[in-house]
Amino acid sequence: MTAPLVEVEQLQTYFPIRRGLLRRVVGNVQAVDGVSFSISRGQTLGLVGESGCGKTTVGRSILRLVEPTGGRVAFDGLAVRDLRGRELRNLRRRMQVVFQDPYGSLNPRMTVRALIEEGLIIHGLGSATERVDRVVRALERTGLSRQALERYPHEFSGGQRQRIAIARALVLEPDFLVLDEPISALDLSIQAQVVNLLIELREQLGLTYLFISHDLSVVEHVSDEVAVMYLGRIVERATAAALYAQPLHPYTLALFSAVPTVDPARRRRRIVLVGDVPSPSNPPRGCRFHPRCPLAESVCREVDPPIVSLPGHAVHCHVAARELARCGGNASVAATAIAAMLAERATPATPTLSPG
Amino acid sequence: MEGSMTPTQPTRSGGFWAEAWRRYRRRPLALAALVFVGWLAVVALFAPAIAGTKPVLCRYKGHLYAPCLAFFDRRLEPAVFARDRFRGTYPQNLKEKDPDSWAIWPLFFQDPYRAVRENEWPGRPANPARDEGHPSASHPFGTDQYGVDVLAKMVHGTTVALLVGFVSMGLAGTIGIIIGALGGYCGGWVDMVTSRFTEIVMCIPTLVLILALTAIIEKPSIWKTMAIIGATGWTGIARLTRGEFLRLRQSEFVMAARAAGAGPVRIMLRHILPNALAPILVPITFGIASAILTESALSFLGFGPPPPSASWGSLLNDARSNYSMWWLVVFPGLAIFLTVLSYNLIGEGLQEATDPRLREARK
Amino acid sequence: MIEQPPPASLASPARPTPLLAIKNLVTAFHTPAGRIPAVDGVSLSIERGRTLGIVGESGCGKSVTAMSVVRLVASPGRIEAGEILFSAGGTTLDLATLPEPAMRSVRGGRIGMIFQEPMTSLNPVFTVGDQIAEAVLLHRRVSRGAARARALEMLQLVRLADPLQRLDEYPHQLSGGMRQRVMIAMALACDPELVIADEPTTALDVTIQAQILELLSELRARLGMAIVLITHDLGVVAETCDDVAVMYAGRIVEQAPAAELFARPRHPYTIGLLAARPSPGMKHAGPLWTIPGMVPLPQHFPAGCRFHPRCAYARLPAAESGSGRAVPRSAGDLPCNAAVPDLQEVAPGHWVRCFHADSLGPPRSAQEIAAGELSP
Repeated sequence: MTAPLVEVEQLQTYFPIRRGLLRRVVGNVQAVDGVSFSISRGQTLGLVGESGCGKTTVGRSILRLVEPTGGRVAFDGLAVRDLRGRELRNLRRRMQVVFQDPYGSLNPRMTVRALIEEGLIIHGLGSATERVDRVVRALERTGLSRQALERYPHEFSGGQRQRIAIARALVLEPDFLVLDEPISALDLSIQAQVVNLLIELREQLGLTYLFISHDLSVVEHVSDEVAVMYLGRIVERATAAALYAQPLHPYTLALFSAVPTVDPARRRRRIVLVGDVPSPSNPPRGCRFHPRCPLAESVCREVDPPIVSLPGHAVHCHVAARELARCGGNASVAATAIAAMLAERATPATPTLSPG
Repeated sequence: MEGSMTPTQPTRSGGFWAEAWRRYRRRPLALAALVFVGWLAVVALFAPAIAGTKPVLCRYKGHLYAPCLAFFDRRLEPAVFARDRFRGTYPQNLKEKDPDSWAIWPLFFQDPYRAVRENEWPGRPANPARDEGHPSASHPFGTDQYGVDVLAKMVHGTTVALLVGFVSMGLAGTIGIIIGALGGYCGGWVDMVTSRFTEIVMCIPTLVLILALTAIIEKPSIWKTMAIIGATGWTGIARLTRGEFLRLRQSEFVMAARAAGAGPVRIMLRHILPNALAPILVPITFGIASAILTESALSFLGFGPPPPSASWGSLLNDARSNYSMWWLVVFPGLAIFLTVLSYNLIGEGLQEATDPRLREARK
Repeated sequence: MIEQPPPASLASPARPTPLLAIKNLVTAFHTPAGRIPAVDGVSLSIERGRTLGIVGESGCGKSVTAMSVVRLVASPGRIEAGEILFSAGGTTLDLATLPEPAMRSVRGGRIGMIFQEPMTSLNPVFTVGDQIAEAVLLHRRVSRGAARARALEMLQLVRLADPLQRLDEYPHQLSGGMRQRVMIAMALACDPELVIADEPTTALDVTIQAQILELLSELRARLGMAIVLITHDLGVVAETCDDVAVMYAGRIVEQAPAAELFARPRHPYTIGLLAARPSPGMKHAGPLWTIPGMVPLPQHFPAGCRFHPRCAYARLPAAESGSGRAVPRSAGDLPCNAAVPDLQEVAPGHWVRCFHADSLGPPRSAQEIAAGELSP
């Protein structure tokens, strides 16, 4: 088995909170706190979670757009955190990013041609004419025509701008693409177009994706493996099929059940979580999810949950660990049991005063 | 492949500035102000051709000369005229010393620095002085107490006024943008140092500083005044630039540029600065108006360049001791007022044309 | 564009007067670039106690419709035509032409509004309690103390923890979900008969959204007000609304009770929207179904049916069939690019604006279309 293209081990990114005249550090926003995963070449890892869970920061930390404060990031064997200067710049050619906001991620003062060409100029690739060719090729790959070259971003719609952003990422012919909520800001009828484009490009160019999103259905459709994040940590990770069929972590179950679905047959029993997400600068002790978890027990309040790894499925939860031990490692049995427990304890029919 | 390939708007956008210009054009006052300033610039540029006692172009002893340029810089006066003892009087000397000579004269034969003598221009009496110098057919704006024509002074004063505005603001803008950009982009201790420095300079009362510096400097000239105004007027621009750079540093397109491998210099110059420029131009424009006012104030107080100099403020200075000569107040005062007003209108128009928030409110 | 008579009420055939009846509403923006008809002949009716969902993508006019009802359309927008009949308390008012002072008493007093962005819809310099009390004081003659008590009552109603403490807190001290609850409390403070919620959960996380939607359902059951829910999320509509109206380019293209619409969508746009979502738990073998093209800009609305350039079913005259999509015209077929279809009732309470609503073959569900069969 070949080494994975991207390997992240105990990644930690804390943002210091400074107060006072001398700007002393009084605390840390623990945006990413011990995240580990690996992505093989050609695969897509989906990263889901709600706002504040740190998924965007994970993407940026891997690219070193934000400096990680701990852990290890390896890209094709290279230790990403140790690179400096020219080596770092060369690495950037191989890892690219597409951002969420098609309106903010393109410099409004630059023409489309200048935007896409910039990467080539920075890395000194090709003469002027060669650059234009490559830019046009990148544009056409994403479904735009050469006519767009001399235009400005504001002349395009959201979906088209996102295509420009994708073309910009592709022109350097990277191996790895971090897609940070690439379709969230787009209209529904355009989202499907861009998703299809991303999948097509992945197949044509053999790309590896880290697909970050809060949209569960799209993530499942696009990804091979999915990791669920909560408050800076991964709580569950599995192949897409396994995660959606047999979710083991209470948060994952709550997340799935919260998504409003059109088809009544597919609707899950809604598990309404109480309260809001705690602040990442002051995470709860033990399992970070315990204040909101309907199944929280005393051990959850004290001890960090262990990782339980099955083939193709890993979960960080005391309750899940216990259920899995009880049924001898059978994920689907455990999943059903956990779902039943949740349904029993967290039905919305009981009108309790919710904290938030 | 789905997805329409063509941009959503049929007509090409010429970019940010083209659109801003289109929006600017819609405001008649701003446009009028721009026209006025444009006209002033023309006047300033062609001042010696509009009012002067030296020919714009003349042919003398077989060569072409442009003596009027001496009004910009005394050293530009062709040496031949000094050798032939013209002593600054051209009309008769040209004819006497070279009958084949011809000359193109300025529109208005008057000198901004001295009163025109009797018969200097054949058939014309000397300039009236004192109270007889009220506006008349031959002196539309009158003459000052020494008989120097006010219109000529004002025409040449235009050059001074505009020069003061552009040079001092050019200097202030450059200093301000550099300091603000460094502070805003680098953050940390660089920001702390530049911010404190800016605040210290801000605390110094500008006019007092200028007066003090002017008093110390041995040979006060208009250039030194401009330099001082520029060196003290950059603080507001620096603050604004710092704010813009701080804000734009967080934009996603800057992050995208970093992801592509761009270094800090490229990001600052190519990405942040073009986006920050529009809001910065506004206080620069207002600063031009303020610089003109400052220079006028200095001249009015007597701290401007020494006589004989032509500046609007110096006319006001003369008016101080000659209350009965109302034309010494009205015309330069009006000129200063209109110029400062125009620059303010331009600044406002620029702000409205470029500020995205104001634009959205209109939508 | 003159509409046919507005569609029948979506509730029972024996029609009591609807709470809100919008008839042929036209709201346009007069910009330097021209007249933009954001809402172009929309007719809706909302019954007492029922929830109507208005669904569409950006630019379809759903928010402007809602704002028109309470006359909060930002200038240079103006209501140009149509009636907005609000029948409550025994009288019927035409909100489109009501004088402003009377309109002010309707806003907040009879019709409550919930906006999308709880961060910016609450005034950051006033406490939460003050803002709710202000809503009360504007419409009821009560003392400050009574208003404050009512504010506390509302905070309890929306299940905000520690309501007494929250009364004196500022918006920035609350989370997004909590702020949205405060907005709901403000909207309900004066017991309105109708609540208009403009994308109330779009800016919230999905678990918080679940909480808020749960809350809205419960409040509706308890207080009996009608709700107009504007959103782009079809799932939200499916789970919370009784009736649905789908808007496209300023017009309603389909209208039906929610269960009927999602089980048997008839308009090609609705079908496309439903098919374009990847269904959770069902991994598709191939690409997602897409609606080609983009939402047209108001300046360039197509002639005839506004959806036809993107419609897979559009029948154009054979001569214009360059894209190879056309089916030869048969007698009586109307070309989609020539005339605007009217709303027709294809099933009881189910209205569709499409020439081919009947002839699109047996009604197809979104899944069937996604499975690969397109042509009728």
